[in-house]
Amino acid sequence: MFDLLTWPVVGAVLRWRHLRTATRTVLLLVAAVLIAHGLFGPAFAPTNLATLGTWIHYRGLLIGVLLVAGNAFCHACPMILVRDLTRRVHAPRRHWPGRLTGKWLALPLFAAVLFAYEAYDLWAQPAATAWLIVGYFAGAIVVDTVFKGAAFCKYICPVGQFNFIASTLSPLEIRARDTGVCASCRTVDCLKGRRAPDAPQVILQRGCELHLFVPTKTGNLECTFCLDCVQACPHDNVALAARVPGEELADDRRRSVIGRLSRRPDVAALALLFTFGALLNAFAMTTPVQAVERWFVTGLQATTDGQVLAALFVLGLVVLPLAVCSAAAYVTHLVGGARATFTPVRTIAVSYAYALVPIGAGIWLAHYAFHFLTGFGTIVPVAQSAALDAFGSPIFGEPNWGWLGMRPGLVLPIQVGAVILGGIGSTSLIQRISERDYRGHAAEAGAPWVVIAVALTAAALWILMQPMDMRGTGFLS
Amino acid sequence: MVVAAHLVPLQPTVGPATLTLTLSGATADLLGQAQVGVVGHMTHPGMTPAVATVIRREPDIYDAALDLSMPGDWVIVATVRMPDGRRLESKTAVRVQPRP
Repeated sequence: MFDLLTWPVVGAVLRWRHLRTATRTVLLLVAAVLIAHGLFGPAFAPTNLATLGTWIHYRGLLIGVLLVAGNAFCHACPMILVRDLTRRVHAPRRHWPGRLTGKWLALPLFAAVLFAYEAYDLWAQPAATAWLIVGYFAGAIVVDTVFKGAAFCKYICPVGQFNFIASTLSPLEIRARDTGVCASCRTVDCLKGRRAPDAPQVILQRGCELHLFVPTKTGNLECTFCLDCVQACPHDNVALAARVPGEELADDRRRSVIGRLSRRPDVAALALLFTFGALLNAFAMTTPVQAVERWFVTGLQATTDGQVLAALFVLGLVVLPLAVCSAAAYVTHLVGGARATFTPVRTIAVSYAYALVPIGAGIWLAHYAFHFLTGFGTIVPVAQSAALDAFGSPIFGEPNWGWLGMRPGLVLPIQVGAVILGGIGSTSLIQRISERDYRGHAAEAGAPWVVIAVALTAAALWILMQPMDMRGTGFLS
Repeated sequence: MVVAAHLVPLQPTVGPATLTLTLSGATADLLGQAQVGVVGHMTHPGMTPAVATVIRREPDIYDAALDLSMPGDWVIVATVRMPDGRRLESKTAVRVQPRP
């Protein structure tokens, strides 16, 4: 088994007990700088670290690291560091309400962040961006000082939900080295953690706060890569192993905490929000979106920007995904053979919805990679400018706007490659799911879903070819 | 001291544009020693800025040649550093239209 934890140097670093504290401290300092510059620095977004760092560098690195390694940004989340400190003062006593488990609460919050980004032009608003970061910290502290475990990560955090879905395509996952060792384990420290024998209230080592049990854990869903289980396991039986990215999306075995994916419409809805949100987020930056907005203004007689945007979001994130997935599932129900005939349309839709995650990830990557790769160098003059503002002298030198990134023309092949790779990944998963559920009728059963994957790929490629329209002064301006 | 900026064309499309800066409120000698830099930024952070080539036409008049590479909202920032240490900034907001 390929296990990164056994590698020299890298393995030692990953096993280092204070790695999380170190990475979280670094990101906490970065967050503090972004908040300070967002609130007290220039209000002009391209010269402010809050907007540049959050919307260009953080998002670009986030999706890139998720796809080449794993959920590293949840691992290094600075909110958990602050939350842990707060919990020393006020320990949580309540369990998260049972009726709020699942992703139904996280879904509208995730959509709300996407909506707010467009409605308030957050990319152009350093102060609003800073307050958004503050809001995340406040949310994590409030929720996690009231409720035990990782309630904020699991049920609320919009970034966390994005990371959970995208990490299904990561090449690394936490898993048991030898399930035989787990079978003979009597302490399940990976789940429960370790407490002081003479003082049970003292936690010596935390177990999985998301209640994932390593031997029955499949894939990366709900895993924050915190490596608590690695530290907790007394048998050194937890691996950070390589795997085929995306394969878990076609795996319908019962998995720890989550159960079977085909029985989780909330997780399927999150997958659809992830995919169609990618398309809408990219489309909103192009010139043709203005024609759609005008059509909404005329057709719906909308009078405010918010109404137009809300209509666009309801159409793009609710009506369109539900309509196309319902139609495709119904066709599968009709042509997928005897088993499909006896499978409810909703279950078919839920099973196949996960197959659209790769094309969604391809679109997110294409979008964020464009901004990151064309603009990564601008962090240098912006940091120089921030230092000049803060200290009154150019301690990092005068702002040098010659620091750029790649030319857009050079990034386009990467973007096209990401989208096409996503489309291939989705088509491959559709085939896997069809073979799994409708053997003998796989081609017919999967055909309508392939049509959706191809249509999404074509739509994303069309969006990439559109002239971009970087508006920073209102959605209808 | 005042910096007046004038963009030509007034409503630019993607491509070249010239920002003319007229400095006033100081002696011709001081104005002639000013260091002038002009950078066009899209309002979206991280986009490739347009760094202008600045030519001094007269002691108090500077022409900054810009290449506005993308349609959308731009802000052209002119920074003037005087030999006596004063630092002035002028911002010109403009909406760049796509090429017809």
